[in-house]
Amino acid sequence: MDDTIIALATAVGEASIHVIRLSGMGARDIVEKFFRPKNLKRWDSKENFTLHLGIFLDKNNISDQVLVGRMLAPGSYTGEDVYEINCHGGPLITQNILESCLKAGARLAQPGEFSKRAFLNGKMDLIQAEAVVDLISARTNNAAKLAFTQLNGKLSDKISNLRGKLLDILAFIEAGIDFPEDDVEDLDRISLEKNIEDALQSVEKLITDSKTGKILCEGLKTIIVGKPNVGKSSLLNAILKEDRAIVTNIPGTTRDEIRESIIFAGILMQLVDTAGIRASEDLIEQMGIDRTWRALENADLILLVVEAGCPLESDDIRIIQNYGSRVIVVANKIDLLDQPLLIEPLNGEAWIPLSVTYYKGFDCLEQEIKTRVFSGDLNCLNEPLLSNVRQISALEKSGKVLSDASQALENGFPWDIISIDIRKALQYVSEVTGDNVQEDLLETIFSRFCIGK
Amino acid sequence: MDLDEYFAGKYEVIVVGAGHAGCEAALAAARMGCDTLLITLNLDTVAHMPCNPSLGGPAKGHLIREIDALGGQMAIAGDETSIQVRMLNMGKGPAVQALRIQSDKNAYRNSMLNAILAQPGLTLLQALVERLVTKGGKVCGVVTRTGAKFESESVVLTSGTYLKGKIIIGAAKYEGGPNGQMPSVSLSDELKEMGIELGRFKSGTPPRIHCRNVDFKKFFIQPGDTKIRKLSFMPIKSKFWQDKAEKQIPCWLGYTTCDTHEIIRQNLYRAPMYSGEIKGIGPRYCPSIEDKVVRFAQRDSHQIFLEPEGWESEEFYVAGLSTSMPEEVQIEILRSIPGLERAIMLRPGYAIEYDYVKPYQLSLGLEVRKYPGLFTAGQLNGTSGYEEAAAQGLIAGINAARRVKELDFLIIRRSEGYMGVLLDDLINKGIKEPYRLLTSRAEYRLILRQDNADLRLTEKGREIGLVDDYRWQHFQEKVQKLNKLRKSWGTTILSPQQEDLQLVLQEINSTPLRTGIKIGELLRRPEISLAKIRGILPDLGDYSEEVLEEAEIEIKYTGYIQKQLAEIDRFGKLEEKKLSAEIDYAQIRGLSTEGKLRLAEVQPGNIGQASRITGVSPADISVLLVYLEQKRRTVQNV
Ligand SMILES: Nc1nc2c(ncn2[C@@H]2O[C@H](COP(=O)(O)OP(=O)(O)OP(=O)(O)O)[C@@H](O)[C@H]2O)c(=O)[nH]1
Ligand SMILES: [Mg+2]
Repeated sequence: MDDTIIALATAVGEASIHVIRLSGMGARDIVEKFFRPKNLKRWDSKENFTLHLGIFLDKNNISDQVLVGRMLAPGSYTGEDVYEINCHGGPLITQNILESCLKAGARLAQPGEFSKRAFLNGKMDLIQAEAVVDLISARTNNAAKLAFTQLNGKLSDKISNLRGKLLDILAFIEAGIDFPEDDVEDLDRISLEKNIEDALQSVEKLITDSKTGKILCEGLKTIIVGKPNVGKSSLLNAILKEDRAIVTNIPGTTRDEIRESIIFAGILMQLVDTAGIRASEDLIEQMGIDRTWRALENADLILLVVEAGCPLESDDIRIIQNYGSRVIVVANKIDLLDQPLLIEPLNGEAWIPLSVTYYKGFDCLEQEIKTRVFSGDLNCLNEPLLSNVRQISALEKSGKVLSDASQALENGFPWDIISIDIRKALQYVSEVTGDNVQEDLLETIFSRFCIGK
Repeated sequence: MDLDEYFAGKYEVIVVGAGHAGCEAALAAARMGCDTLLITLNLDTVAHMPCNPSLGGPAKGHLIREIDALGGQMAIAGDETSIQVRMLNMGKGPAVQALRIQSDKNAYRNSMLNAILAQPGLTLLQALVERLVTKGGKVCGVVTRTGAKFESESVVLTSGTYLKGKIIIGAAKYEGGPNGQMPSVSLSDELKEMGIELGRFKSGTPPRIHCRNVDFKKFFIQPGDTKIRKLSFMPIKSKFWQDKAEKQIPCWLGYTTCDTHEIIRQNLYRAPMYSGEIKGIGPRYCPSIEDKVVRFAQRDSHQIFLEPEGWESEEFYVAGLSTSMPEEVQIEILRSIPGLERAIMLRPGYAIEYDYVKPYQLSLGLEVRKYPGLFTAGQLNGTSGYEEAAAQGLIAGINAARRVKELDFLIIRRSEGYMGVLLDDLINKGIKEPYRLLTSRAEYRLILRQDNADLRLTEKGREIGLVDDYRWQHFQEKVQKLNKLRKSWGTTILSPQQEDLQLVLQEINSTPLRTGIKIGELLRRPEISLAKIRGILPDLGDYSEEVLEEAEIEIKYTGYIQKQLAEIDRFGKLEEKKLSAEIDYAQIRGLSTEGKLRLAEVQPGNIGQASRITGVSPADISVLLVYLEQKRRTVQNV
């Protein structure tokens, strides 16, 4: 447990200031690698519970003015040395700082890990133990796997592809080692060199992709759905404050998804306008509708638009039944109503009466989204950023050991040594995909080679 | 009518089954001073090899070295009866080099039998054990088919593939153990009745042929090594070739043909594997020839090896041709192979199905957790291979003796030996096919080399009373020499003035020396090896090849070795956090459902072990840590 953990203590998009927290024996060394305090003397004085202004400087990344808080063991929250980096600037800077610290040896904290350490170090009493356990077990399913499936399809394909390459290389070496008298091709250093080089290139390409890629900008996946002509596109335009989607009084106007990123209610959102849901003869429209149903599965937030005063239809009800707490029903066109709207929630969904035409009800909508996000009802906003950071860091580590492998190969080291680095590279990439290395390795060996003397 | 039982004797340890596991278990228990009884179905098949007449290879060879380092018998019997030795993986690195020997089956059996007969404190008996005697939830003896009741404090079951053994050859199937033996049916039912969960696996062997009609010219010769190496750390000569390398007996490599595969395809409907006759799960690494032909349909040939079953044996084992096809098809298959056109089949290949004990029910000391005093080892635990069996037998025998002496179990960690990897995998990961050890299963492979098995384990063996004075002295001499050499290489400085040295460096394209350099440092250069500079170093005649090799490996791979040692250190801490057997995992808040289930099933001894159980997540481990701390504080507060 001596390793240093790091996490984002604030939600992305929540505020203009982000707090990155480090805890562990190595926290100081890691922070000092990048932090240039304005008042060096005060920093060096090792005074406890102090705040220090300065610059966070990483040669490879941009720098930012930060405020670093220092709380030393044993008096800190976790009982270990704790450093908190307060930075402003958007998610990108936050991500850069996290990345720098990870490269310097920190590790992303597991859910509840800070509290766990606090408890194990005697900083919390027994009564709080249960709360700690709740935090730890909040998400017991395979978080890595989950995050991976939510990645943009092309990217996840590329990562799976890279993993496949590494698996093949390792299977090849291990089959040669464990079954030397079986019919396995001879190990050949030249082709290995080529394969490692190839994998290295994929890693580097992936890192660039991840860094410039859109994942971070995705934010809260918000989907606008509803029957045709209820005002979905109008809502999108109003939120974007521009005429992005075509609005007509003809039902079935929108046929394909429209995606836009925006900060709304202080939250980074990816808004998707969809084709109105109805049974349609039109093949193209129907395909759009099918896609909408699928998109609902992955959405963090669903804005279900209905016409105020009209009874819900079966599709609306189905959405509410299936996705309850993720749904905000936007009862649009209240301007057409002559009496107040009667609201009877069915399944934990919120109802917001609204008029796009008269720009009414938007502050309530903002408020509702904020409450839902920050009360934790919705998928944690930090997840895309964190999984991005996690992924980049794993890829970088994987790249590092792959170059070690290629160095070892050049130096004439034998197969058993080279395999150590390749296995590590595979392990790092498997952290991203959430897969098991040992079982897949054996599976690959036995399916590729005819073993059995 | 019930049989009259009679009291037949009292022992401290009883071992049931004298296969590779049973022999090691019995010898170990007796050598540790326990009055031991070894019961087996047939005295003529003690330490029998029903499959290949060979021992060792990657991971398996490592296991044999470890058995030897702890004071076991397998390596000695193997060396004494070898007819050929080969070091495999020579160019692939120090961690994965492994010796494979061909052994004379009958001689091996006799060697082991003699060791057993000569062992003071060990009694051998031919009998069929039908049931176990239990008292107060403890196992305390066995009863044989003839009504003899033996009492003991520990019982080690090593009944291999005999539990409900069923032999299958084509459409013919009958109850039986390997090699024409009888199966043991009631014991299996007995175990089930005791609440021990059993599974069913399948294994198989190829046909054996007479060498008379074999046209060896159509095969490629596979001779033994010219440089002689041994399984054991002790100097033991083969009784056959007496360290004269040229007298070793070769094996022969040949290939199946398209014809072979056609015959198999034609008769596939008669193969029990495909007709649904076989229900047990077979190993992926040891497929039958029919399996290979189906799964690798694009290949028009597979390799086979002819391995002599003994020094002067006329019988050859046809490795690679494992099958349960009908007999007449087997003959056809054999005769389709170039060189075997007129082959005479001496014994047909067969598949065998058998019950095994699901190993999650065991502790890492190989005791059935539900029944103190009952140990299981070998193929009975779902493994395959003589070496895997022997290693478990040794551990079970040691711990059966330690149970008698009321001592803590000997547990080998994953970082200490392949034995540790084997047991840890079996118990924590669960098995879906017969388990075979592979070097790729060991995460600290570079530490677990075959050359240093004694450095890893012989002291442990001495402590528990298995390593005798002779071996101990031999070991200490080696360690002394090694230390001396390490020191010498770490201090002796080679001078740039030494001309012959500069010349050698020039020859192998290594940077010339400008200042003095320690021998160790020079050896660390990638392009340098001991062999290359040996001529210009101060005389090394004082050191054995073994010691030189060891010291060179340590120096050359230092960086990687240190890294693995650091990892071992880091994870080792979790092994110190003990988990008591009394913990009711179902009651621990926050554990995942699967985590609860698996933890209750395996009952790990510590957090480290818990973290390796399939189905236990890192979050579960965090919850367990919090739970332990909660408990510690609650106890303190009281
Ligand atoms: N009175 C009133 N009309 C509105 C309001 N919001 C939208 N409309 C009108 O409703 C019609 C449909 O609007 P859209 O935004 O195209 O509706 P949509 O849900 O995107 O429709 P499809 O794309 O066809 O599924 C347009 O004529 C809008 O001007 C509102 O708040 N009040
Ligand atoms: Mg529209």
